[in-house]
Amino acid sequence: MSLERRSEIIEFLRDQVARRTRSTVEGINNDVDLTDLGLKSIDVVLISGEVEDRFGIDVDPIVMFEYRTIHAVADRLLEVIEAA
Amino acid sequence: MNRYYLGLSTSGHDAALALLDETGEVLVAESTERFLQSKRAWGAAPDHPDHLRQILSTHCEDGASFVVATSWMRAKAGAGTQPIDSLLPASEGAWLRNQQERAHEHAGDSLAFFLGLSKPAIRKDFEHHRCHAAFACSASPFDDAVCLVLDGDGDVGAASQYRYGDGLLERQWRSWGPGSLGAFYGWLTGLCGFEWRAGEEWKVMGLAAFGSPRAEMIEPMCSMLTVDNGRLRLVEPEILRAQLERMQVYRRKRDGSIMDAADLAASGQVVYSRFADAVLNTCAATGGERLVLAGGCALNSSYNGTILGRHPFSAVYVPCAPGDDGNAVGAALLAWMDDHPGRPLPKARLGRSGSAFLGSRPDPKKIDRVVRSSGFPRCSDCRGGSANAVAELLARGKIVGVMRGAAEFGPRALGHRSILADPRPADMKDRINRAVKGREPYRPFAPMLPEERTAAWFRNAQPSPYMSFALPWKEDVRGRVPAVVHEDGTGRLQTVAEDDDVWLRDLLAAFERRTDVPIILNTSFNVMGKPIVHSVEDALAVLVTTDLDAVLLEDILIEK
Repeated sequence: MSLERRSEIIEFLRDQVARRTRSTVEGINNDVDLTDLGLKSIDVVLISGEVEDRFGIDVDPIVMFEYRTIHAVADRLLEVIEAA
Repeated sequence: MNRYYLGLSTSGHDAALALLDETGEVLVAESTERFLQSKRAWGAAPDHPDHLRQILSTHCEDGASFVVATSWMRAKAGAGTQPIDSLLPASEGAWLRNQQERAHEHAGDSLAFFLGLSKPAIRKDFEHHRCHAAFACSASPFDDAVCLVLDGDGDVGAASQYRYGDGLLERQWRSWGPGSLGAFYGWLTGLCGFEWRAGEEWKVMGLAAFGSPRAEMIEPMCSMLTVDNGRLRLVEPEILRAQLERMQVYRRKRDGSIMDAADLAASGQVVYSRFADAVLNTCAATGGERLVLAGGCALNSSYNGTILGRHPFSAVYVPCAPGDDGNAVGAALLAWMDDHPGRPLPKARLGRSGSAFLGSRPDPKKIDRVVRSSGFPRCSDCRGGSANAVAELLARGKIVGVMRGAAEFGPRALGHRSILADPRPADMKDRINRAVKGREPYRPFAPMLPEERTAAWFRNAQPSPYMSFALPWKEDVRGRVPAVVHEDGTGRLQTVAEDDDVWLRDLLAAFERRTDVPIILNTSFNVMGKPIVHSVEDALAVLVTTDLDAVLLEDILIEK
């Protein structure tokens, strides 16, 4: 269940990053710093809002800035979802 | 040992404090601007040491314990979420964030000082919009409602929706990132030649009645924000810049007449209404729900008066302090709930809705001193008959300042710190503006009347205990009270319910006996640019420096 949910979060984040950076999902590396993927701070903020709506959790606005990569953010979000 | 909850509005503007007792009851709530007599108290600590000392000595015993509650989760500077950027120059945004950071970081320091501690023993930080919602829902007469916070700013965005029911608040959604109706109105205020920092959005609202909406202004403004399922978003920066550039041609010139901006104000108000409508359209899951509206945008009384009837809500409530000052109470309520798990949000106890009279009382010792040694020749004790005495003066055309009981919390004077006058003479508006208030002649004055008489005088009648709604006067009565009918035929009324305030009810009845009109002109007891009077000295200063005819201090009437 956790693995499935983790994959779901990762796919969602990859899709969001691709939209914001106007790139393809295939070219996104899950272990690269979000800013190196071309995200500006405003993009990070807007994606946080999308995550909140999609998964029905309270997202702390600094999560994306603290965890920095798609994998790390997904792991943190999974903890939040499972604790909810 | 009693425990108190000290709520602080830590926005860096509209600083305020509130004190709750162990039962969750509000003992006092007061804006710092009143104490300092500095409009909006920019940069001032919400727990200003002298103000706090006065409040503590009035309400708390030695040895009491305290919880400090703030109205933000963290300092905005460096948080990465900046909803107000782009519509304001970067320097103004940075200044705003710095004000907030200073107020927030040091909140509670003065309390700690008085308690002999190096920092507050218990401090809790709460979400900004949850504070708005907590105060609004606590004071509302509803047990369940949709609560929409429409604001200038927020922890992550400028709008949030909550569901209030079973004594609990549950957030349903919030917007993230830039996109703020409050910032839009602030930008509009600047374009109209007024200053948002001074809170001059009122002037835009009042001016809108003199203008006509113009399509060539509306279209670019409508293209600045999008509303997606309630979430407000600024459009892409390059599109926004283009629209802002198109609007520059309409900016009121420094030496231009105020009326030059009337069409712009009217157009901006139309655009505001469209955006707010788009958000509200997503709020009502089923018809007939009750709406609680909070956040700084809930001060847009012109818009508020148009909600009922156009949207499927059965009733609308706006608290007496929907702006950031109200968050002092909201934060304290949330801290109380944290300490009392499983207990519902405390409901305000007075009247059907929360009383707005939560502030300080005039110092009786100072009133005694005025009676004994001020040198005013006509100073009379009207105990038991002050409502009649004031009604008599008003009916004779006199303009009277009233300072009675606890001060209003929030921006409106509701009869405790008010200047009152007869609404029947057509020239009364100009007279008060010229002789007392010193403000722009176009700005309207508000009527107050008994709640049950509203439908006889207004269309779309609804309770408006804190002047939150501008409603259209019925056409056939406008000629009877011309001083309180605005250019567009509306009035931002205060309805006084039977269980609201005995003295005001007596005053309205006494005035009606003399004039056959149950309506009194009610404007705030201040002069232009100054906050509402706070001390007995403030009230007397207005009396002696303007053409005000008399002041009532509790039941002591001082006439010129």
